[in-house]
Amino acid sequence: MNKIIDSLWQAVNADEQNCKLLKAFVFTGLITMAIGAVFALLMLLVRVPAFSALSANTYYQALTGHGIFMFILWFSFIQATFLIMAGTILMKTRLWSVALAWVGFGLMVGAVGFALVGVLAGASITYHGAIPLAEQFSSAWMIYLSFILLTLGMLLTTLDFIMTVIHAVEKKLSLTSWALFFKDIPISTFAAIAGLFIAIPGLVASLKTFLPALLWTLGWGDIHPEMYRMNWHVAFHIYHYIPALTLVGVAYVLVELCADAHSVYSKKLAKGLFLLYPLFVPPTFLYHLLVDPNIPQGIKFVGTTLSLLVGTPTILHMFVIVGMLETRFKSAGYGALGWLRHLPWKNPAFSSMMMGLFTLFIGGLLSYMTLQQTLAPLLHNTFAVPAYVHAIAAGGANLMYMGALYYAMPLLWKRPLWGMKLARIQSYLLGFGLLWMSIFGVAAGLSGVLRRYALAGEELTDASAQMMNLSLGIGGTLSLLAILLFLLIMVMTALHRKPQENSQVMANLIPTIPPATSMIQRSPMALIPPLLFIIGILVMTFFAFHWLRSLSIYNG
Amino acid sequence: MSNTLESTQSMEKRQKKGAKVYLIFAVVLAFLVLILVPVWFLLDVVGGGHSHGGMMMSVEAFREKLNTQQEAYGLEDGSIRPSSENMVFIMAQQFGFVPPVIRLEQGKHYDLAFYSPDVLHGSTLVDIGGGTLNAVILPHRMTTMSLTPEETGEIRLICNEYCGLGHHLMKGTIIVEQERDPLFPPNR
Ligand code: HEM
Ligand SMILES: [Cu+2]
Repeated sequence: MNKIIDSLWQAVNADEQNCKLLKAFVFTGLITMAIGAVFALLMLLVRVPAFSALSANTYYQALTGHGIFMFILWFSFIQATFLIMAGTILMKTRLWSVALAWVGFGLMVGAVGFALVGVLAGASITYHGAIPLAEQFSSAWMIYLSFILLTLGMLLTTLDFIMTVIHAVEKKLSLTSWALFFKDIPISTFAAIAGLFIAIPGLVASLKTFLPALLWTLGWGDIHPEMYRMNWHVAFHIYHYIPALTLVGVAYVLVELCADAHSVYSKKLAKGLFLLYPLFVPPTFLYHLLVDPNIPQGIKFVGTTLSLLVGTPTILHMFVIVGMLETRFKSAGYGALGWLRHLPWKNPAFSSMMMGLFTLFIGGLLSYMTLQQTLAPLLHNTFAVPAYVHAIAAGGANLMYMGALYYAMPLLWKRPLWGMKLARIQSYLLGFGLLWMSIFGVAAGLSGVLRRYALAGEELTDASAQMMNLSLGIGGTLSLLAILLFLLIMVMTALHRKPQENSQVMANLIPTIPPATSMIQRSPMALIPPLLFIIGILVMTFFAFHWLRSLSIYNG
Repeated sequence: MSNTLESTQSMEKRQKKGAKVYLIFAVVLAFLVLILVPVWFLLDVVGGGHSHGGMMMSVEAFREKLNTQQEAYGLEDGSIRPSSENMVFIMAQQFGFVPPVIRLEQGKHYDLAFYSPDVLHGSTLVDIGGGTLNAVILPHRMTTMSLTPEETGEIRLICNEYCGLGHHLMKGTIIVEQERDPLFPPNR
């Protein structure tokens, strides 16, 4: 058997209570994802010109539901799962208080309930919940309440994690004891700890945004729309970097699990890189407000310049992670290209991870267009925005999380993975679908199609309509199929057999990689993705400015 | 025996050193994202941006400006043909733009001043051949967009910020007319 998988198996089995808790988080997370997928289907029916069914009201309702269930709820549940895993299974410790985590879970389930009822009751305010628009929707308070419950639930879970960490340090008042602790813990647990420095400010910002909004919808107190807007963007900005950090933390676990790969660099490097996120992320929230009229140009310039650095930690992590694979496979004797061919492409967790990295790369390139101040007016609120979000978040983070679940499901439910053959194609299908959706979506956006818009695109030009047919009609439908396939595999895995008491259930997920025969430490090819990334943003920037200047309305 | 041991050791050393060099390359690349800053200077686009303004104003005050504008430049078909010497005032409200049709002259410089009396809106100008310029319109705050239309034809005006269930109905049109078209003398 495999050492890492065995030790994970033992860690999961050593603590039945914790296992139950994790199962609850995962299971509820999958339900929220399924609901998000139903809303996605409804949106496709409206926005694909070839379909053009259903009403505008349904569209805005589904849009609100989809954004909240996919991006807010599903990500929160799965990230809470990883947080607890990082503090228990990976560290081989017990959770400080299982009861506290259950209370947190309960609050989060409450959030799911209020969000669903709110959306079905017609609170079509999107997850932006802008003020004063929300006062025109009588059930808007349920959405704000949902966000508050979610935030409180996450706060309790986070608190539990913090106490678990403190508890695990031998002498709490001795600095050397802490230093030793940080040195010993796995990279991904350290990532979770570094993540606290963005998660906690994010959660506080969330309360500061939504508590006054809730009170205001209930008739208490007043609230300035621009104040809400600023607060919301601070909270949301921090919130959407949690997946950016988490996906990297998960990737470190996955390369070890799927490819038996370890970094040739000291663990200190990877851990240090995680500390860059809290440093680089908070000051860059301004890039969401680049086209706001009330923010001075100078501040926008500083904001847009700092924003360029948001990708830096991730680019470095990518170098380290790809390098782990390259050195491991080259050490086993594979050549300059042979190592790529011999990667475990048939392991669904691995392919999920690689598709995740690939979509993240493409989405990252696109995101570097939207965060340039002078380009922002070209792309702001066009369909290019959700298009790249689907490459970065529905691709990058989501695929990485799915990869982790390919191991976590059999581990927690103690049953072999169901449908290995389907699983093998699922991640490729999703990665491909999302890329297709994303690339043609950006093209549609450039041609004038807007985001959050209940018309299909045929009201613009034929070309726009064709782009939407390609983007959502083909890419969106394939992605949706792939998500449903994933849910099927997960549900069947949980149901189709009796649980077994032996780590043999994981047998088909164990990497079969030849042992290392030499000690290759150089990873020249791992430099290729960062290099391509820099070339990519340069080429695309030149192209985008060329396009901008070719507009007959460009000159002011 | 000791020889091979030595050579493996020296190889390991070389490998370690190589690994460090590659890491340094990676760090350089990761910070090279900042190269976009000199590129902005090179392309001369620093501090650019299409919307500005930001003055707060009461709904009454803006309505008055609209009325004055209507009296001076209103045409019988409901459109206006404003002079490029004054700001062009446009009310963005649930769910339409007032005035809905604006006639501009090709090659002239205009400042469009958008104002929302109710909720958050956005203004998207869709160029004649596709391609958009987008701006945010905050409630009770003026957003100005400068524009020198170079081609004749129709520029669509759409709201780009979800503003309620009729969001997609919120549209307007800017008609760019030929320079000094003798058929359309200035109507004053
Ligand atoms: C199952 C495949 C999916 C399809 C077909 C799909 C489709 C769509 C569509 C059509 C929109 C609306 C675009 C607009 O009008 O602005 C959208 C928005 C969005 N989707 Fe997805 N999506 C999928 C999966 C996901 C996943 C897995 C996530 C998870 C992160 C996600 C996150 C989002 C977000 C954050 C938005 C923006 C919501 C807003 O603007 O309020 N989507 N999606
Ligand atoms: Cu509007």
